[in-house]
Amino acid sequence: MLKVQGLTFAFKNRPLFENLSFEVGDRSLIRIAGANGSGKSTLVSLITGLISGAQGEIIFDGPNDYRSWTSWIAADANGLIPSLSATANLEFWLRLRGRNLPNEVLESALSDWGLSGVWVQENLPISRFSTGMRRRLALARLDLEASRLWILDEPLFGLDDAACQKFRNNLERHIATGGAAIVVTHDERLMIGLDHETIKLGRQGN
Amino acid sequence: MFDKPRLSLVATIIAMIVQWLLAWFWVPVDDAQGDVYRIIYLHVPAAFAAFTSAFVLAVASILALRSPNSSKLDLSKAATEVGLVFTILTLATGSIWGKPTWGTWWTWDARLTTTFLLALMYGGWLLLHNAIPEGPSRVRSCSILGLMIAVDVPIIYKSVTWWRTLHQPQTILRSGGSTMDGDMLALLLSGIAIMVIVCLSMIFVRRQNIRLQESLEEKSLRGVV
Amino acid sequence: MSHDPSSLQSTLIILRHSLRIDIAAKERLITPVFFAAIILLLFSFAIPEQPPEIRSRMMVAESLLAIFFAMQIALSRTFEAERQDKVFEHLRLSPVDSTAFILAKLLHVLLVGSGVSFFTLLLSLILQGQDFSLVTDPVVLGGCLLTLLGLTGIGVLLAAITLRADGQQIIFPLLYFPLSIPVLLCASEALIQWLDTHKWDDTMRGWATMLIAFDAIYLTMTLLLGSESVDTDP
Repeated sequence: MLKVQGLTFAFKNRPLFENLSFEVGDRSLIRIAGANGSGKSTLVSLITGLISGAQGEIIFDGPNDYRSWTSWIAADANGLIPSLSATANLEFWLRLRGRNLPNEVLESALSDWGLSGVWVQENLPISRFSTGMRRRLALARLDLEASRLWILDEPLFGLDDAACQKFRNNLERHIATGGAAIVVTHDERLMIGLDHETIKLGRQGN
Repeated sequence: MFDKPRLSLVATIIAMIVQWLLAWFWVPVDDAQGDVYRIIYLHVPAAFAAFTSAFVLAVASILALRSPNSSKLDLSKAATEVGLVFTILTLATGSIWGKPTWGTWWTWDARLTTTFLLALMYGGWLLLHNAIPEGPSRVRSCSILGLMIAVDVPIIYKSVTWWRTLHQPQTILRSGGSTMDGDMLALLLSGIAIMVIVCLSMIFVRRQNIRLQESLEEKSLRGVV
Repeated sequence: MSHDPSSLQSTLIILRHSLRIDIAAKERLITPVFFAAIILLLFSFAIPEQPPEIRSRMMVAESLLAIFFAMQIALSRTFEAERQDKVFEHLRLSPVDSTAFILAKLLHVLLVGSGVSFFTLLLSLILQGQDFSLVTDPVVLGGCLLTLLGLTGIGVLLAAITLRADGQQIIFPLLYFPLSIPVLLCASEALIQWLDTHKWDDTMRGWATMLIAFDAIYLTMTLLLGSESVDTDP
């Protein structure tokens, strides 16, 4: 569903990667690894289309707008409005994707990620949430968006062991049911036992 | 040593000096205002140059908006800086001229008001340019603002002129006017033409400067990394 | 399988969401009115008592300026919610047309601005001992609405282009003030003319036409260029 061909990108005159090519098909899981500053997040931004200016080609192969079947999670942000409740946040993002889900579905997805109870789900603005709670909310949104392709930048950021395990299971299920994912992570544990391909960024011999 | 824009700048500056000497010693004195009117040969050309810069800014902005990823703001920045210099010159000479003729340094005359606003907008453009880090979004934002400024100049001029004519029936002495004699008019028109060329040459020389500075910065950065 | 919402649906979803954020953080609605009240208070100290025949002129000028300043507060916060937590980037990666986003923002500022302006006008009338009937005069209300349209048009575009500027709070008014002068000028002239004569004469018609023309220019520019400016950088 995604093909990257000969991607070359330099940021402020510093070459980040050269002639990078890979392909993402159904059921493929790709891990992007590399040292700090090796361009992992930049690669994600280029793939998603948040930034442009690279040489080479990024081709999405799928029905109409690639954004309607792609989900993204940023490394250091969740895309949530702090003054609104968890359900209000979910509702907004899902409606923009044409998914008007009944409240029970939202609630069960939230409970799934350990965000249970009316107070947490509907009354508390998420500015009161901890880092881990916000990340779990973002991951609940990822589940509900039901996209075929996940592009995730450090999805485990701020998660405890139990939540990491749950995410790993979800990822496995997503791949098994025909989805695909590109995951930036330096946590080896996430990938143990999952069939995947690793793209290592960074200059050789450095 | 001298490239084309620089050479044309030198040539037009010589022409400008000749024009000023003519303005000073050759054209006759104005009956109503006396010698003080001679400032018109600096004031009006400067105003034309200021508005020419807005036109260049508009063209540069449209060009930059068509491909924001690859374009740079060098031309827009040069036009804005040169434009700001000429608007300030226009305001200063207008003010100096106003003191003996209107008896005051400043009046909210349509032309002065518009020029004043133009100076503010050029200043605002430069501030915005400074405030956004380099990259495609700076190109987009500054180009949009540049286009807005260019669209706004005639709008402001139109509304302010109408406002002034309603509120201040012809008490002010209109600069220029149709009563000028032939020599005066000819000298003024040639002055405008010369100043517009000076302005354009300044913009291009300044653009070369900016480009040079950018490439120096890039090279030195590459050396460090 | 779900379908992407149409542009119009997206606009409405974003508009509804923006209003929801306002309601959740009510100070976003209250601060502009509060600011307008302070401006009116300052005017009362700065400007001496006026003879009755020019009082209506002062009323128009002061009300419009108070609305103008209140709108500055409202406008400079237009994209505040989107700036945090990469909401903006998430919007760009949702199947949403960027014109729909700008349109939603315009409508949102217009709605909030109408409320703010109405209260400001009311407050201005009370403080200056004017007749309340002015608030029900369709020409006055229409004039205020047209002013608001122009200010919203230019303001949303400026808010979008100053989004990534350091010190946006300072740069925004520096650009918003001079660029909105034509709108304010036409609006105040038209309204003063109306209050003086209550007739649709040529002057009145001229100012009103010019105001509508400026509104159209500003709104078109915002819709055309606004979506350009909301793209992001590395």
